[in-house]
Order: sequence, then C-alpha cells, then structure tokens
Amino acid sequence: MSVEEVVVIGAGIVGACVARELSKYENLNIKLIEKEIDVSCGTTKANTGIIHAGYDDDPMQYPVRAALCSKGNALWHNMVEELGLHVNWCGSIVGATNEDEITVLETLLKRGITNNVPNLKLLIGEEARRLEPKLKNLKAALYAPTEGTILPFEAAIAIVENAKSNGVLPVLETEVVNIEQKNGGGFLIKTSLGDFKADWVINAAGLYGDEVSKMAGILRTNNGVSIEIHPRRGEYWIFPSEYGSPVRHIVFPTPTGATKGILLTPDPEGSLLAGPNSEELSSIDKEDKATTRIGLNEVYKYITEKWGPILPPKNKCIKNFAGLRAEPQHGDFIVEGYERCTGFINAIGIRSPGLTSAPMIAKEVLNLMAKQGFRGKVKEKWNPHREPIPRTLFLPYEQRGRLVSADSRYAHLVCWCEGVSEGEIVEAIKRGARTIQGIGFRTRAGLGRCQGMSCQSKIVEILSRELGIPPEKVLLKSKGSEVLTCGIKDLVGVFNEPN
Amino acid sequence: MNQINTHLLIVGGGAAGLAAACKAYEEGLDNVLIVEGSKELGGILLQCIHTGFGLEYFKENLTGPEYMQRFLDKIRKYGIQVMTQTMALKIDSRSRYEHIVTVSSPEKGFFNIDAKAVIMTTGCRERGRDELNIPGDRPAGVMTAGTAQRYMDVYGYLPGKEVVVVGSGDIGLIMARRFSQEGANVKGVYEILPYACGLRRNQSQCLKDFGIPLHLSSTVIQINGKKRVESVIVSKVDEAFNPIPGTEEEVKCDVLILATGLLPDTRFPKLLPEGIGLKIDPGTGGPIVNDLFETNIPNIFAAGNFLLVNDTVDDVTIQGEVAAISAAKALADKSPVDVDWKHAIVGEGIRFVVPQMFSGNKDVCFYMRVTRPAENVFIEVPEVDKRFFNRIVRPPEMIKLVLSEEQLSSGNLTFKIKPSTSFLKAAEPIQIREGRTYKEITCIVCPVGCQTMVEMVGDQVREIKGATCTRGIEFIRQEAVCPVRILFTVVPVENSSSVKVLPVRSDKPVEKNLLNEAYRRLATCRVKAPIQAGDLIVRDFPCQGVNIVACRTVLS
Repeated sequence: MSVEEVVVIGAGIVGACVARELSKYENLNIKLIEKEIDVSCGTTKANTGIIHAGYDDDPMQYPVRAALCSKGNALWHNMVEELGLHVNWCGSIVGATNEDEITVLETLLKRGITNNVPNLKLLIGEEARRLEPKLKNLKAALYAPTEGTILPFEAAIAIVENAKSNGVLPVLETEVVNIEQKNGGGFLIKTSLGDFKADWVINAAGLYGDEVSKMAGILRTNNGVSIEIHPRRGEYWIFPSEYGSPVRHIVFPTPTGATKGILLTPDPEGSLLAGPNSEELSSIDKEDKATTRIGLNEVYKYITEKWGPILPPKNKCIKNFAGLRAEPQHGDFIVEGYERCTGFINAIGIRSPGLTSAPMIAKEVLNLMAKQGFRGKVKEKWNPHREPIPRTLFLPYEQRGRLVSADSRYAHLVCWCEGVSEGEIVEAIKRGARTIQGIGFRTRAGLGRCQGMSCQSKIVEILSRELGIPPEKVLLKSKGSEVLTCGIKDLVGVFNEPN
Repeated sequence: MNQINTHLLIVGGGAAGLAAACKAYEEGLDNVLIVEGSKELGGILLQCIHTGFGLEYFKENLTGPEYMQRFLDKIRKYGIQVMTQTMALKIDSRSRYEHIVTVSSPEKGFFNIDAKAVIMTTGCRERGRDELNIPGDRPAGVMTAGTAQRYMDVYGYLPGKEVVVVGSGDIGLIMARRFSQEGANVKGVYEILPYACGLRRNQSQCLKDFGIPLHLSSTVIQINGKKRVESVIVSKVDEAFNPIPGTEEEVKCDVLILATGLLPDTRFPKLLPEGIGLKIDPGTGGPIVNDLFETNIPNIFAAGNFLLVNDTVDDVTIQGEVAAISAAKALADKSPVDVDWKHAIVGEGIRFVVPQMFSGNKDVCFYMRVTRPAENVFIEVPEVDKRFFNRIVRPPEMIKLVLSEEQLSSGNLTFKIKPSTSFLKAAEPIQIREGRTYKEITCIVCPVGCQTMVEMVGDQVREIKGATCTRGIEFIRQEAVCPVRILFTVVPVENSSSVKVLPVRSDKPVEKNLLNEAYRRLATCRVKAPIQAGDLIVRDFPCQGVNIVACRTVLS
C-alpha cells in the first residue's frame, strides 16, 4: 500500500485534532504546518474553553454545528482522560429571569433533545436556585450536566504532542503562501520554508481559512456561499481562585441574538471567567486582540445588571484578554471537500462551538477523504495517551519524591503563585515551548496572581540557557516580542564610540 | 517526609528577615534558620542600587546592596543557618510551639521544618497591569518597575530604550532615573493622583536632575503594539479618575513601566488554597498583629513589607528586630499568653494603624498612613486626649507615633486626623528684582519640601527665601553653589555565573555636572570576581579624591 502525503494547515485545535485522527492510519504521512512559533496561537488560545452540551445549535439553520457538537462533547469526555488534561465537568445552566425567557428555555430543551443531548433538565424556581444559590433572581434554568471547561491551549498542545508520538511532523514558523494543483493530481504547497508535496490538504487555518481556500481556488462553499472569515472579538475578565467563584456551573443568560450572551465560567483551575462580549471587527485585521475600555465595561456591567454584584472588584482581576472567533458568512462550519478540487478539504469557519466540535470535525474530515477514495489502513500500535507534564507540587508524596530524586530541579519552585518548578519548565521546553507564553501554556508558570512579575526574569534565564540563545533574544509570545532590548551598557556605551 | 527542627524559622531572607535573624541571635537564640526562595539572600535590596538606605538606622547614606551586605556579614559571623532556593509551601500550626513548615529545595527536595516560632518576612509584590485594568494590546514591554529593576541591576539587560512610567511613587521615580542613567529616553512619568507620590528627595533628584516631565492627574488608558509596545495613549483624568475625552495623547515608547503600588505578598503556592489562616487587615493587605508583631496564629510573627508596605528599609529592619525580640521572649516562655488585647481603631482620615492590637504593658510605635494629603493637622487620640501636630501629612509618607505604656493602659484607642486652628504662617513670597539671578530649589531635608528661591551674586548665595526652618539652609546653600550627588551604577562582572553585574558607587558626593560624562566613561568598565564590598574599582574617578567602590561582595 502506498503512503499518501497529508498537509494540515494550521495547528489550532482543529488542525491538531485532524492531525491526531489521521495519525491512526499507517498509510498517511502527515505534516502539520503552522505559521506561528508555537501551536495554539490563534483563536484556540483565547476563548472560553467550554465543552458545550449541544442544545444551542438549531439543526435547520446550522446543520453542521448541530450534527457535530453533542457528539464532540462525548468524545472530549474520553479525550481528557487519554491526554491528561485539566477539566472541570461542572455542568452548565442557561438561566431565565422572567416568564418569556422560560419559554426560550423550553425551545432550547426541545432542540437539545433533537440534537441528542443527554440528561438535559429544565428546573423551575427553587430547584434552579439550589444549583446556583447566589443568583437570587433566577426563575428557571436549563441544566446540562455534560458540559464542562478545559484549557483550550493545553488541549491543543497535548493533542499535537500525542499526534507527534504517532508520527505527525509539526512544522512551525512556516507560512503557506500558495497552493498549486499538480497535473495528474496532488498539490504543491508553497511555504516560507520551501515546497511540500501533498496528496491531501486539510485547511484548518482559522481566521485565515478563507485566504488558504482561495489559494486552492475555492471561493464558495458547495452551497454557493462566499467563503469569507470575519474576526468577531470577545473580551474577558479572569478573577483568580482565591476569591472563590460565585457560581458552580457555567452560567449562560437566556440567548437573545446570534451569540450565547455574556457568561460566567469556572475554569479547570478554579478561576472565574466573565465574558465574552461580541464585537464584529470591520477591519480586515485578523490580529486585533486588543481589549477596550468599552468592551470590558460592557462585560462587567452586563453580569452585574443580570445577576447582581457577584463579581469581585475590578482591581482583583488577574487578567483581561480578548479573543477572536473565526466567523463564516452564514454562521455554520464549513467542513467539506470539493469535486472541483479533489484532495483539498476545508475545515474552516470554526466559530463556537468549535472547541467542542473539533474532534468530530476531524472524524468528518476523514469521512470526506473516504468519499474521495481514501482507504485507510489502521495502525496496529496507535497510542491514544499522552503523559502530562507532572505538576510536582500536586503529586502524591511518593511520586514527588521519585521525580525529585531523578531530577532535583523539580523541587526548585520558580513560579510562586502557581507553584511551578524549574523541572516542569525545562520539560516544557523539551516538549517544544520556545517562548514565555509557551511555558505558561504548558506549565501555568506566570499565569497566576502576579502574572509573571516575580518569575518572568527567572524564566527568561531558563529559556536562554536551555535554548542556547542570549537573554535579549527570548520572546514573550511571537517573533518580534523580545522582552529585553540590549545589554545594560549598550546605550550609554554608544556615546563612547568616536565619531 | 524528612524533618528538621529549629527554634526560630524565618521565612524570607530580605531586609526584615536578615534583621530578625541577627537580632534573634543577639537575643540569645542560637537555633535560627532562614529559608529564602531565591538564589541569594537580600531580597529587593539586591536590586536597589541607589542610595538613601540606612539614613535612620545607620545614620549613613548607603545603597541597597551595601545595606544588605552589613547584615550578610553579621549572618556569616554569627553562623546563622541559611537555606536558599528553599520555598515555604505551607504551615501547619499544631500548637503554640509546634509549626510544621513544608518547604522544597533542589538540594534537599521536599521536607518539613518543625519550628517553635516562625517570623514571616516574605515582603510585598507589585500591582500589575491587570489589577489596573489598562486596556489595549498585550505586547512584550509592559512590566512592573521591580521587574525592570531586576532585569537591569541583577541580570544586566535593558528592557527598553523609550520609556513611559506610570506612577510617581518612589519606585517609579527611581526607575525613571535609572533608565536615564543608562542612556534610555524617559518620555514622562504619569500620575493619576493630583499630587506626586514619592519623597521630595526623589521628585527632585530623579526627575528634575534628568529633565523628566511629571504629568499629574494623568494616566495611561491604552497600550498599543502587537508584538512589542509601540506607543501608549495617555489621558487626563477627572476627580473620579475617569479619562477626560479630548485630552488623549499618543506617546511613542517601547517599554511601559508600572509603578502603581505595592501589596504585602500573602500569596502561597496553590498547595494550600486556604493559605495559612492568617487574618488580613484590608487597610494594609497584610496580617493583623499585636504589639509583639504576632499574628492571630500564636508564635507566628510578621515583619517588614509582609506586615505593611513601608517607605524606608530602616523601618523594615526595626520591625524585623521587634518580631525577633518577641519571638526570643516567647521561646524563653516570657511572653504574656493570656492578654486582654486592646484595639487601635482607625478613625477619620486614617487608612490603617499597625499594630492593630496592643497590651498596654509597653511603649508602642504605631505606623499609620492618612487617606489624603492635608496641611496643618493634628493626629488625635481622643481617648487619652493626645494631639500631635503635623505641618503636612500625605498618604505616601508613613506616620510613626510612639505612645507610652501609660497612655496605652486605658483601653482601645482611636487614631484620627483633626484640622489645626493655629495655622503656621506661610513663607513670604520673594520679590524678583531685575539684574539678579535666582535659583528655584526644593528643600529635601524633611518631608515638608519647601520651595525656596535663592538670590545669587555671581557664584555666591546672597539670600535664601522660602525656607520655613533652619535645618535646610545648609543643603540649599550647597545645592545653589555646587549641587553634588552620589554616583551609583552597575558594572558588568566578567567571570561569575551567579552575579552578572556589580553595583558600585562613589565614596564621596560628586559635582552633579560631572555625572553624565562619568556614566558614559564607566560604560566600558568591567570587573572580575572575587570582589569584596568596599573594594576600589576606579581610583580618582570622576575627579581627584573620589573613588568608585564596590557595594557588595561577589565570591568567585
């Protein structure tokens, strides 16, 4: 059996899941191409991190979303175990505060049943408030026990690590500039790092999915909708666990428009996320992840007006951030192959519930490949597991002792807020972290109360040592984001040069 | 888990911890252990290479590293046990004399320390961008002043060339000067309050000396730059600190330094989410203590910036010593156990009072801050009919008030601000006469900070107007005729893996106008370890009779 070449474009959650799914077949040779210095640098790194139940997506209006979401939820319940991810299966409620909203909940319940969402319950009055005692004005709640939260960046990183152990080759810092269709089938992917041959091209390029699709000559979906991806920005507040979350479940308001509204989310680390709002960015700038005074105030005010003063004060915020959703024209995922371009498959327009659906999107991509003639031969020894980086401080005593006696750096705490050791940081670098953000995403160093003020300089020192680069070349998150400028005497020294 | 025993454990080896350890030894405790999370002892003093330390405690003007070195030398002399890179993770207090402290270190792994008493001296942390809710991009180049200071004066790297500083507290002012000394362009210091927050000394010697503009009632409202900071938007603010539309201005810069306040560092790693059960005073952010500096957990004491954020290291040292004396007494079973603690009550115009409780069995120095600036006021303690006059009180300047055992014996005491009816006469304005030269000089001898006008005849002072006391006259005269400053900077160390830069200073004040050239010429200076504190680095520099000397010891 001949081996076929696959290029997956984009190492976000969708590209990662596709690469992992395809790595189950021994007759595929897979490259995962990513323009950034790390995986999970686009829409994946900044979103709410919810594994949705799947009652929200109207199967008439958004058939792809409706078909993939609830099945994706079921897959995640298994994947978090296989991949050793942090998860909070806290369940969710959609809260109603008046009679009209209760009617909407009934519609959602029906839709959930249509979408095969398990164990949905509509709770009225005291029963609802028992779930969330601090939401005094709660009149009813649609309770979805299968929902939960993960850390999306951790998930993408873990999935790529696992895919790598199953033979996938991640190619980072490599931007696709053109896709040429070869006579007699197959593609030549032109990139900043040279050309890659491919029999299959999976476009999972997130916000840039429309541009990649255009490179392959695909401007419209099979339904004739123009393929355009717009950034829709959402802003967030994170409050740390030390203040205690006012809610135990993910709390949605009753939806009114196109989005699920501004919500409260207890994350797997015990922090509370408030957000996102929803702002269509008119610009074609797909990198505008700036927070705004207006947007942040909108989120804070919305929650306070909706549920009362349950948020900690603004100055207790641990982090404000904004993320972009990749919005397609017609609001539904574009997961399809094309008769006019065999071998090219789009997995784009992955807005919410994209994180939840990603493992199902990957399976759908495989289906589409099969429809175009792919016959996979399943590997005998495919490894579904990935060992997480040990978090020394939280290990049982015996295990901790073994780890420390193997490498004493596991007992040297670098990040004092989150309790992260030098050993964990070094391990993260071994597994591919190249930046301060990359270390944070893999270990949580610098993501705590002080946001790296105490440990950043130590992390710069470790990165410099492990990567063999001078400290002034160490990056915060992407190329051009150096933390330091020059040596302490380099500027005054300039005056010494004879002119 | 392995366990070691000690009588007194000191958690944190900065200024307070070092002072506590030395004092405890001097009080007769011979089983004292310091655990410090970082590689070296010294805490924040390591990176505070400027002068102004020890004016009260040593009656000398020292740099941070020199101040630290004096205690390090004593620690070595006394043979006090020290464990560095050793992080305290949790404290399990089983009884008054049994505190099991779990720590980890790369040398010994995870282990327990069984201590009869504990002094917490873990210092404070800085408020960051997210606590200020500054919106905008999230690029590299946004950092707190302390982080920048560590990059510069411990690691030997500059984090930027074009600098904007938010916050006019001492740290902001000191970092504005530090960047200027190293050739960076400091665009301005922005202060959201309508008054400058740092000591007058620093306002004058950090900003005026280097021509750095100070913008009051102004702040940064947006950060721009996808990868590194490219600019910030600054704006005037109204009385409620809301930006005033139409006053926005873009300032190009590549680094934004945040110096917007400190909080006692009561963080503990997540192992113990409920912390160690200390009761916290919302006014200080630190633990509530009695006049022994003992927290609500018996025999756990607190001192230094962990207790309350101080203005000077001298106060931090004293607090460390008080805690050590208390601990020594407790371990000798001499401390009172069943005390009917009386409370210091925070009254009108006061933000906090430390200690929050007192016994009435001894004199106590109370530390307090006011909520807003005021002139000609009394700090009043109505219960004992005591009033203490203050010409000027400002939130950035700590007030210390010593009350006697007798005054404290009656019961709870309230501390409040009361306006004085007897106004001091303001200084006469000077009449500017044509054909004379005048110099405007801010007196920095005391916190009042008189604005004086000096009339000159040639190089000589003819008259000084505006000084309200006689103490400042000598300073003003010197400043008018020939202003002098201590030169201080860092010099790269060529051959040490642990210490990258050596803090150095001039052993005598240097004429101010020689300094810029001196900093340039020193830029190419390199040193090699081993170096002893006080070692001569450059002789007769920048002028005859002045030497550049090392501020700390660096072993090879």
